[in-house]
Amino acid sequence: MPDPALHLAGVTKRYADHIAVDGLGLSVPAGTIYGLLGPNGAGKSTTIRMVMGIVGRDDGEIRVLGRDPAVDRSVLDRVGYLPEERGLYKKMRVLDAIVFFARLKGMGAAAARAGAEGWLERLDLGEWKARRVEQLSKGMQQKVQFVATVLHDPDLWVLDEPFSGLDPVNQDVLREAVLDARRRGRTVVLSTHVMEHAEQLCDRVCIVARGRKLLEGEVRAVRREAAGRRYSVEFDPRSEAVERAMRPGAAFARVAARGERYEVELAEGADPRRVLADLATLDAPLVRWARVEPTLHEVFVSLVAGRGGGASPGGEVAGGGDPGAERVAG
Amino acid sequence: MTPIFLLVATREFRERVLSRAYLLSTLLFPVLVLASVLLPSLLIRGLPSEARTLVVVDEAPLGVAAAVVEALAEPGSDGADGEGKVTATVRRAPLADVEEGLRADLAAERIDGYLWLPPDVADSGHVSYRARNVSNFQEMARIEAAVNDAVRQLRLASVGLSRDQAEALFRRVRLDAVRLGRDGQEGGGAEATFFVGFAISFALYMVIVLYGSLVMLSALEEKTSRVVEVVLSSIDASHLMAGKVLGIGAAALLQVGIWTVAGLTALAAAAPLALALSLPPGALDALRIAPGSLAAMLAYMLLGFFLYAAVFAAIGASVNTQQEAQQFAMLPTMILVVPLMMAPAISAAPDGALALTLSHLPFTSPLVMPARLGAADVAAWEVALSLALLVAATAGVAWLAGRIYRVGVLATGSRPGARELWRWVRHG
Repeated sequence: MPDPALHLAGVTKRYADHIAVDGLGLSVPAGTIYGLLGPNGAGKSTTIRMVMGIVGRDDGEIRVLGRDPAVDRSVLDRVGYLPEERGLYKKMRVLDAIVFFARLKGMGAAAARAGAEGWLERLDLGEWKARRVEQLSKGMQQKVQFVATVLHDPDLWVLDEPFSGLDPVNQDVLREAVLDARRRGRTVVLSTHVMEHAEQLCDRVCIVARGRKLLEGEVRAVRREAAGRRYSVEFDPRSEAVERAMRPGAAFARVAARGERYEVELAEGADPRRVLADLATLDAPLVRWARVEPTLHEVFVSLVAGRGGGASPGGEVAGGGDPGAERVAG
Repeated sequence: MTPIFLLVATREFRERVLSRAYLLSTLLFPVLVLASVLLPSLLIRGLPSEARTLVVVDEAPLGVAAAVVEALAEPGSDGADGEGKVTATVRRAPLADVEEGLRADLAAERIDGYLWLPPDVADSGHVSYRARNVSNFQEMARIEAAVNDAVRQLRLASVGLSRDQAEALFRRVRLDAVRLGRDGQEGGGAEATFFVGFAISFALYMVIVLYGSLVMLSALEEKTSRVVEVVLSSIDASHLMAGKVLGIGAAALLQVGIWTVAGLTALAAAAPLALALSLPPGALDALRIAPGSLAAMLAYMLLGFFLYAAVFAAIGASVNTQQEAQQFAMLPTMILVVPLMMAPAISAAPDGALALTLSHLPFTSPLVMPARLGAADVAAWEVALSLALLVAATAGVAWLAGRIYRVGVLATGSRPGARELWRWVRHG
């Protein structure tokens, strides 16, 4: 496996009255999209600021593209950073502002100018390039800032809450740009507290709360790990024997009928293979037996609410939401 | 590749120089200076003083009142066309008898004032004047001169001298003061030298405070607009601060350069200009400053700007609103005002203890030493020492300011107290 694009170990940041980041470790494989997830105040932005060399760390190790930015700042020229709180020079012309930021990253003036024009065209901002930044709408300014972030084609994109404040159309534009970056072998680290975005985009996620890591891994694995003992069961057609079998008892602790399907939670001590074998012998054909995986949202809520890291059924299951679940034909 | 702090400096420079405010101030400042130099003298000369009607209450020995009236009636040097003429009528009566009536006349504006010559005027030398307006210096001087002449004649007559004899005896001696440099070159006259010293101090004060404030506001704007977050991911905070100070400093230097060139051009035309403005010949000579002094002044301007700009930058980075920034900015501005308020004392004794001290203290030397250089000859070692102290102080303050800047631009919330600032310095 190649070196991770970003690697943190035991990273800690203390402030006078609290610990913002507490021994955080994570690893972002090159060429992936990585989600840093957590509630407000979890320490996401502080972590990112330490990665970007903006605030110093009190302890721990950070490797950005293999190097410590606190020692070798020049590595940050290969990183594009979109901070959570956006800001541009209001009096500057759009094109000049973008070129300025690209040149800060070591890009030549002419290349930056040409590249910026291309990006602005692509994002429908071509006719705004000579306007002053302050004349643009908030959403346009966000797009301009995004261009400024990635114009120098960084190897590592660090996007802090990139979707906040964008309308759905522009969220799609941004999503496409991120996916395109991965196709071109770039690594993207994005923080968000909107789990749907993370679920759609990320290969791996890390969930942090109160400065600590609660969980890290591939999105699918994270969901599966949290799945526990909830199953979705369907017979077609149903029979009386089925109605009798699908009741709380030795096999099921709880049963809920949802349309054509039953949603069940296995009873304590029940072996899923035995239960499945028993159901398969009923007189009606079993057409579905699938473990219900919680959405990332559910995993997140249960983790952050402090209910432990394992299975936590009882939350609402999003409408038929089991895209990753396995299917068994009966 | 362009060093990164130069990119910051270039951006700042362009943003300042291309702004409308810059263009306006570049054009308006010379106009204002010229106006402030020329207007007062033009105005005073140009304004005709009004005709006055006075009453002389005469209890003095015979002849005094007549001499006063005669002197007052003479057209003054400024009122050649009879303007400013004073018409005086003599009332030979004790003041006590007429005063009430005169006061009534005064109140009713039938007369402009009355003069009382007491019986013992020759001995007491005391004359009272009551009028509606006693703040026109030229008019007061004229009345005083008239009374003086009359009383003096009275006194001289008592020892047997005629008026002509007296005039010959008391012809005035004029002191023609011109500064003589170490090299034997003649500098400007007394008033011009004072003026030049003060003008230099004031110009430096303006440049430092105005452009220092720009540095402060620029830092504050970057902080409040959150641009600083992106910039800091590409450049170290102290380099950002340095670039900002350099860029804005370059804009200041360009402006001062334009003014200087304009000034020198005006100076090349000084003689015809002086003639055209009917100033005494050589009145602008004091503006001819030796090239060495000019270079030293430039050094003081730059170093002074860097010193104060660092302070202003730290302020801009530490606060969150313009109001807070203005409050904090009072401190450096007050320190800079001190040498301005001392300017008369410094000009009066350019080699005195006060001038000597203030021209070596780093926070005042940028204003005081150039003024001394304009007003007197200062030994080269003194300038060297003062510059060395200034360089050291600037480096120290810039270091401190950089530490504060680094933490400050990212800190939000309430404005920091002294203890908080010190924590920033230690951990920055």
